[in-house]
Amino acid sequence: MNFTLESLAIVLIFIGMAFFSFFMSLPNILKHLKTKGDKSS
Amino acid sequence: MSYIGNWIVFVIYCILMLFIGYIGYKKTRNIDDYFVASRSFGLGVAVPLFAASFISSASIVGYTGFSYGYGWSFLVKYGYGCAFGWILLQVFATRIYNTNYKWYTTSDLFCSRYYDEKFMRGFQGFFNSFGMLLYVIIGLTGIGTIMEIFLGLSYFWAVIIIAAIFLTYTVTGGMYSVAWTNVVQFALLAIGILAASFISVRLSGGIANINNTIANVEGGITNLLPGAMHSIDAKGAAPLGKSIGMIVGIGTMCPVAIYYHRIYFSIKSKNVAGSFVGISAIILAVLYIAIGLIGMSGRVLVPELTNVEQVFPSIVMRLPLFFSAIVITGIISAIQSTMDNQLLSAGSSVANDLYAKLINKDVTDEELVKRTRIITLAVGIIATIVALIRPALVIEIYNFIMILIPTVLFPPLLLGLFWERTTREAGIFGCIFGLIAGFLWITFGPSNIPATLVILPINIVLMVIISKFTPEPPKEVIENFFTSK
Repeated sequence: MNFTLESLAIVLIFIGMAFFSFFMSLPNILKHLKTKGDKSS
Repeated sequence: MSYIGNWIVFVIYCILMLFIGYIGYKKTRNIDDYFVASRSFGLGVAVPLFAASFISSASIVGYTGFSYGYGWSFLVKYGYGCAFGWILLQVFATRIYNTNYKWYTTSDLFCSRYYDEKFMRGFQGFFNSFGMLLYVIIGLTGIGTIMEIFLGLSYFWAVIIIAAIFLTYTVTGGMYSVAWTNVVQFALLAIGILAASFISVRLSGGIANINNTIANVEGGITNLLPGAMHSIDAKGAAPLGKSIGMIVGIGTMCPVAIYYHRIYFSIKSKNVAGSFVGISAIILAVLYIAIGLIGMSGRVLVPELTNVEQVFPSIVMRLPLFFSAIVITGIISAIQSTMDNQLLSAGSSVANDLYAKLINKDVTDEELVKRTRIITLAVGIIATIVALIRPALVIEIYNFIMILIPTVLFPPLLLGLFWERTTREAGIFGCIFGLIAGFLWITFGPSNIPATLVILPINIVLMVIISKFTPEPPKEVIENFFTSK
């Protein structure tokens, strides 16, 4: 896609930060899904 | 140009919002419903509510303009700040959500943590409601200009119509209306941004062609060096020092934004509180990259612009009729979804913190719902009138407040939620110091060093010292805030 190394790094760091936030929330998401699953069964 | 297509879609949108507002009104029976929707929201509401509140007109029109002007460095200047904010919100999440208390407003949180009603209630009530009022005014002035371009309306009528719609559904239905309209508005704004990005990238010959074109941009309206649009600081045109200041400013603004606190107060479980920002972060990251691509595609489609802020309207005008109407509705959704939450925050802050807790402590639940509606309406009308007059002073005060909000609220919130030894005296000091020092720095300090970078660490250190020399907080407060259940 014709990124330079610098612009690719800029985009990847941004995506990395968003995923970092997502991974921080992952334990809560899993707990939430588990609670929902337990309730529906 | 013909505005008929845009008008048809806009009218349908308005009817839909008012209908959702009516359902919210029917659902609202008491003050718990009105302020925090009886703390009933799951992920299905919390994610779109947060994401829609996060994206405002500044994000769409401002960021496309910046990416048109300076290329990928827009992510460094704005994107990293937002992402830092999502991380901080994630860190604060399960602390702001606290089942030991029934908070309605941020002032409630501060009063509980700093076991103080006298100072905290009045200070937080005034500061937060004033800040939110300014946000709504600025939001309304932004929408006026956009509607002028897309619907052919004069600024006056654009502000009146938009204010009438979001005031009606916010005032009548409270948090239910705000949340449910935001769910629809989020869908519309996401479709609008993605459609505009997809089509503008296609018209520009793909991402590779955009990257090739911007690699060769030099000089022009933003006076760029060759290769600047692929550079972290646009080769000096977007200085890294200022970007770092912006990252800290935007980032620390997120966990203290009282309209995000309202979302935490309206949530039904700790797991949802700890999840919704993380999920939203992925969605918002995609949308911000799409917004940047719209701006940079402008370098291929409309390279001759003399004002970077014209890039978004210029591109939307080039879209086929149906798509332009969708994109415009998406923008109006983005703006209204941020303003409605801010208006409700301002109204709730005045009604709960200043009226019910200070002026009329004996007010009944039923009466408070009525009074809150009147107060929120009054706040909305004041904001509309000021937006119509557009005094230059408002923009100046707004710029002040944008810097003061983190310097005043961030240190007491951070230490209050994460260090149990933080005392009432330190909390009160943190608020006052943040306000005075922030004000002095903006007025007399060097303009190339952002206030947040200096005031925040000093405020935190001073608060720690004061806490060490003042009596410990009551056991009850420590238990309620720091004992996990």
